[in-house]
Amino acid sequence: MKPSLLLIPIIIGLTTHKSLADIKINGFGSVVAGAVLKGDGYIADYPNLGVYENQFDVSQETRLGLQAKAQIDDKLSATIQMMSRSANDYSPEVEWLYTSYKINTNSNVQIGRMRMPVYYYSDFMDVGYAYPWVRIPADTYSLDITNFNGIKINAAKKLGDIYIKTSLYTGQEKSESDELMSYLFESFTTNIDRSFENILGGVVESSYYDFLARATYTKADMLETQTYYDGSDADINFDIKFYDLFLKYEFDIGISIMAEYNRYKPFYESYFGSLVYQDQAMSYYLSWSKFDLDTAFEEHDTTSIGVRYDAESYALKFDISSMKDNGFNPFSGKTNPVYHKATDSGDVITATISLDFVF
Amino acid sequence: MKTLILIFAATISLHSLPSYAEIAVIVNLNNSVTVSAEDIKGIFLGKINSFPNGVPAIPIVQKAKTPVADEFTKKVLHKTNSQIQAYWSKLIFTGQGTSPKELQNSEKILSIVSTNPNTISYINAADITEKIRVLIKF
Repeated sequence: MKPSLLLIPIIIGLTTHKSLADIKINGFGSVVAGAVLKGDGYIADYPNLGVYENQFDVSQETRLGLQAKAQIDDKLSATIQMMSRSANDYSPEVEWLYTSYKINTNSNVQIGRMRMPVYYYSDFMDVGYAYPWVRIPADTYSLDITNFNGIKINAAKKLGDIYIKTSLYTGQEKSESDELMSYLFESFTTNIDRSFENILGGVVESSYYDFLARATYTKADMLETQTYYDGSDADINFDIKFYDLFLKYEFDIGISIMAEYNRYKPFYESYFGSLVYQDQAMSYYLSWSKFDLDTAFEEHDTTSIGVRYDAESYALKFDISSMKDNGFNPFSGKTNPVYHKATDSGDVITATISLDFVF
Repeated sequence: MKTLILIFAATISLHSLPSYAEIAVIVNLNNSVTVSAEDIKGIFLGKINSFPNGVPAIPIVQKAKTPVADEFTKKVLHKTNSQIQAYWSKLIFTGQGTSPKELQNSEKILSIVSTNPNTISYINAADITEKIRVLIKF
């Protein structure tokens, strides 16, 4: 996304002839330190390939985001969000870059680069401050692409006491040298490129008092180009479909429960459930997540327990996660851990501490 | 040990004392809309940008961490300060909304609500004047 960097001065330039008061700057960040207590390695962030290995490490999930929003007139605004991730050597990347036009009081259209809103936490999975855990359950949030370029229409409505939010989106995305896929299939490929065309999707989210339900559906044409060790390559076309359901209930006594299920055709399904108890500044969580590929090669689940402490404007979190890896090669019968360098089954226990903030 | 238990009991009872201030949710005198507590919650959480009759609503909040703001967040939105901050960070960084405009004190709030027919805000019930309409008290 390097060419997009050129757009920053353009956006700022567009607005500096007006008063600076029209630009809002906000940011978020997470300093995350993790260590493997038992086992060989743990993939904590699949899309960006953040992996903890045999030492205490602050450079896998640490990240900083900076957002500038320019209100051009009553209806039109332009937003850019840049992120710097330790897992990608801190090189700044454009995560969001869009203009938003207000169609009427309760609906708007966004055009540009945005998150693919396929999972409930997709849009804000980097904003650690906004959720209870150290990380969004990694087994479940493992889609190799997170963003797309296109158009999204959003509308909100209230029917009786039910709030409904809907979005429709379409666009495309290219993932050249797809980091996650190239890693997963390094045994027989040197590189994997993926191109997603004709992405078309919809989201319906509704809330009724303390209950929230959200469903999404997305389809696309995917072209995958695999390059092999002998230098040859092959194109494979996939007709992909993704659907997801998320449910959450918040009890008055500080307990909330949530669960999410998704199916990515023709590849895998994944799901998680979590229980969170908040008492004043302290929150405690227990969660379980699972990834299950349609073939035997990849299957793993993680059980996590953790605490969150809320100070004035930041949160401190501590997490212990235990992952069981049940993947195996059905032809050889040997274990096939998702962390390839694992010497045995790939089972791993990690401890992570994080500091999350917004400003 | 007894002293400790007494201190503990006293602390607990302090925490559970009824809230002292009554909160009045206010709109412009020309705004005749009727709303439920759930409508107010939805407007102040950015779930909907209009009153039940379809008229655009502009929510305005009191300066954060003042007693009246804390009371409103707890009683009306049913959230803690950190929950509300987490909630808005989710919306701000995903292009789904902007947190409501914040004004320094009740005088400024009374002044804007009495002049702008789309605004909705809240004050300590003791500060109610004839220039605004009270929608509901909490």
